[in-house]
Amino acid sequence: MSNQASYKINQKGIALLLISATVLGVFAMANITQGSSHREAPLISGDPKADATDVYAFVSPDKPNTATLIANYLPFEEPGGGPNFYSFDDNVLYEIKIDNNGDAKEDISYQFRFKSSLQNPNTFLYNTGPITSLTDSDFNVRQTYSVTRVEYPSKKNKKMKSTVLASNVPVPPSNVGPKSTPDYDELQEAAVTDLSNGGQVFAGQSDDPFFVDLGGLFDLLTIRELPGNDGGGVDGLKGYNVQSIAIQVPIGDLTSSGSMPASATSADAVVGVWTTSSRQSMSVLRGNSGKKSKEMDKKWVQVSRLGAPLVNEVVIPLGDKDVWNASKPADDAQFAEYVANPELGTLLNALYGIEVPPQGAFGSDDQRDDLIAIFLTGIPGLTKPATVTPSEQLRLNLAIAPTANPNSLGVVGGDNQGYPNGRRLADDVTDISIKAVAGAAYPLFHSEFTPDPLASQLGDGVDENDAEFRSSFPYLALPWSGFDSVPH
Amino acid sequence: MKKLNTYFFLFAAVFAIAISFIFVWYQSTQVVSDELSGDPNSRASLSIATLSEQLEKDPKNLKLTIALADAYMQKIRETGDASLYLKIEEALDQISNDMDTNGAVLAKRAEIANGRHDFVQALAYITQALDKSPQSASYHGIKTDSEIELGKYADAETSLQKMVDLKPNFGSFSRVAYQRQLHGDLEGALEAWDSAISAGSIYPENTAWALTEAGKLRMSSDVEMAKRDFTKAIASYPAYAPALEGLARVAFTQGNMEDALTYYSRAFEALPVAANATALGNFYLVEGDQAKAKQYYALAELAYLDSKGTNVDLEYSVFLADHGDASKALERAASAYENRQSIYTADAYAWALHKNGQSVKAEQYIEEAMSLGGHDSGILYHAAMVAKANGNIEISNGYLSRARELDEVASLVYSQALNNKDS
Repeated sequence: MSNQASYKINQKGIALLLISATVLGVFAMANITQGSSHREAPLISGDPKADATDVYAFVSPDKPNTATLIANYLPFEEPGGGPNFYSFDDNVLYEIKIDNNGDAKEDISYQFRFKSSLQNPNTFLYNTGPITSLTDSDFNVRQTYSVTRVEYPSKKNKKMKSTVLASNVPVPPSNVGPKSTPDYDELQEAAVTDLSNGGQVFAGQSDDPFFVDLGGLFDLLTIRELPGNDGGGVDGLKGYNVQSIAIQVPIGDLTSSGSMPASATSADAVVGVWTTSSRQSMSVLRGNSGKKSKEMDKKWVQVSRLGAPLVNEVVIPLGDKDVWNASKPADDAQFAEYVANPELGTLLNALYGIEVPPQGAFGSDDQRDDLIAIFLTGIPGLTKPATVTPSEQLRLNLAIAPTANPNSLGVVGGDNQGYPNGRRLADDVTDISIKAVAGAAYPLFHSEFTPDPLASQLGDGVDENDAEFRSSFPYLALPWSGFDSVPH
Repeated sequence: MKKLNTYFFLFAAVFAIAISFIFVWYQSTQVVSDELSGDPNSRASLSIATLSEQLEKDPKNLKLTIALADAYMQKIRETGDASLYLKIEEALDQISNDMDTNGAVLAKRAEIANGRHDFVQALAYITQALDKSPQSASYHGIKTDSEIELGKYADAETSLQKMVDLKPNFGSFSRVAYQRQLHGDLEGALEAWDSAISAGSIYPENTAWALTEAGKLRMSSDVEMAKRDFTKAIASYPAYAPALEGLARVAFTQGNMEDALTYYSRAFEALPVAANATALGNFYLVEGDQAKAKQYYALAELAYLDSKGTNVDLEYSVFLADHGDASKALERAASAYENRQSIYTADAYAWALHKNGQSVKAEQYIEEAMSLGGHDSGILYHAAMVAKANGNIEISNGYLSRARELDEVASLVYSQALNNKDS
């Protein structure tokens, strides 16, 4: 910088430059700037196609002998996001993983691999006319995928077992609009595919089923209309779509016993669910000039991880996000502190004067064992495996039958079939989480404690999704159309 | 003195014409304007608005401050407006009293220093940040960028390998592409660009940038594919200047000079930065329109002289050596080379020496500029001229043909522009 000063321009120079330059008119000159070099690569591009937003796991309401697992990716899809619209990434390995014995290691994984193709190599247009079927030649930019079930070695089976459940399964197009995708619901229906194990699968665009006052939640936990149990919030995800991966499988395919658990207290009743996405690394320089890095070429690296909701956003601090996303549940002891002594609890007390339960360092007498149960070990008698290594997973008791009258507040609302027992699409996980942090479930572990009366009423003021869920698989609401919807 | 008075008179005369220009210019540069240029509805602009509002209520919030800094960084990419770095510093200063040693804050300061081409300072900041968070992929990316510009190529390879091993994504893939390109592995570079494009970014401008870079690489082997890359870039980020410039190259290579002019002009209008003014000036020079060329060179020079705190010694010295005062070029180039010894500063120094009649001395520096193998058409052209001046005609011709193989249009425009100027 120091050398800048020695290059003071004299007025003569400026005058000459202005004479030459003004001829071009005022407009062009008004904004001329040295500008940044376009050699510079961005740092904050994110990785939207590998960015997991939410996981859902529930016993299917219309097929109670099956469970439905859903992982959503690519947040904030603007429905009118042409010209390429939205897709999964061919280079990403998407997985939904299951731990069925509480040891914090995956026992089963459903792997999804996508492949894109261009029907007409002469254009990159998404569609060249109305798309009336999944095989319509006007459907130019297409994806198909395969589903593989991987069974990891266990006491029963010493060998890793890999079974392709389906391949070349079509992904329906994005919901472009009535001209390009006239009968959109039919296209989606046609994309629901039967699996060789008796289940079904779907991958494609849907309305983002999560509803939350994002602005409020990240704006210092602003509850717009206290206490937040009666509307007044702004759904930050209203009108946005996501890419969903949904699979429905017989319950016996998920359990350690290989069959339907006999009762909710059976050793095989609880499974933990999370999704991961991975990409392959590459050697910076190829061939001879590549150094030791060679062994990293093509190595799979986990880039996103998600189980229970809001953990990544609210519990894990900024500096640890990369570590979190690359981590395995088995190594979750490193994050226990954030759960045992949550920042959110301090905030609730500071901002709203809520008498939150005492909280302190992990391992101390004051550690929040209610939250440790919800997020790390499971709730005794409901989602806690017979033996458990503490780890963050979305834990689901497969033996609790679906209720005819679900309560969106789940366990906190007296409905044991909902979050944090698994997670249904309509569960109001934000309200549940805020109430839990405020101490609503604390008496389960400390009967002497009376929660602040406000604790059971707290919420973000957004109580339901912006679109109605469907009654059968994949249950998700259809995506917003690019033509007639404006998000926000 | 009399002569100087005449200039002052001239200055006064053009003042009337230029008054509105100066007014707007001052608004947009001297004072950091709140009215941001570029698309006010872009994701970056919207984020800046929302986050600024939230920060007003909670000025010490680290998360919000870092998010705001990120949004401004993107805005700077989109508008080329380096004055926005001040906005980021303002926000960082708000929290800095107790955050001077925070990794995220240090990393942002490093990013700003890189943006202002103060790579020595950037490397110091990011080294501190990495001490605190050795697993942060983006910090390794910032370090990579500093090292590349400082000519520490082996270090840059190591840093980037860490980045891509931690987070294989758009940011690391595009950096891999650039390093492979520097080392002459064009096929490998395209492979990495394709991975970056497939991954994509939350910002459409990023994807457009990657498509354009890939397109430029493909120009030498497949013009139609390159054209498609540029068109696709513009489809995802309308009026994307570098892609418009790419289309100008395509038109030029196909002999369609009318279209080439349109695209060069549109690129400049979309992003009126020094490089785009120079490109347009070069095109006019090739077309034989000296007067127009001079006007655009004058604009480019204005931009270099008002660089808003960015060190432009390197870029400005090459510009001066090509189109301006050779002795000033040498001053700037010497300063750039003293500051950092990369292949590009070595090239600038060699080129300025050559333009000042010191072609023999230039030889050692041009050799240094070719030390990664000589895979940049601009450097190759300079090397050819230096070799020619030193009587090595065969070597010179070899360099020229390699330059054309790599980037025919850039080489042609550049050499013809310089030839026309000299004739």
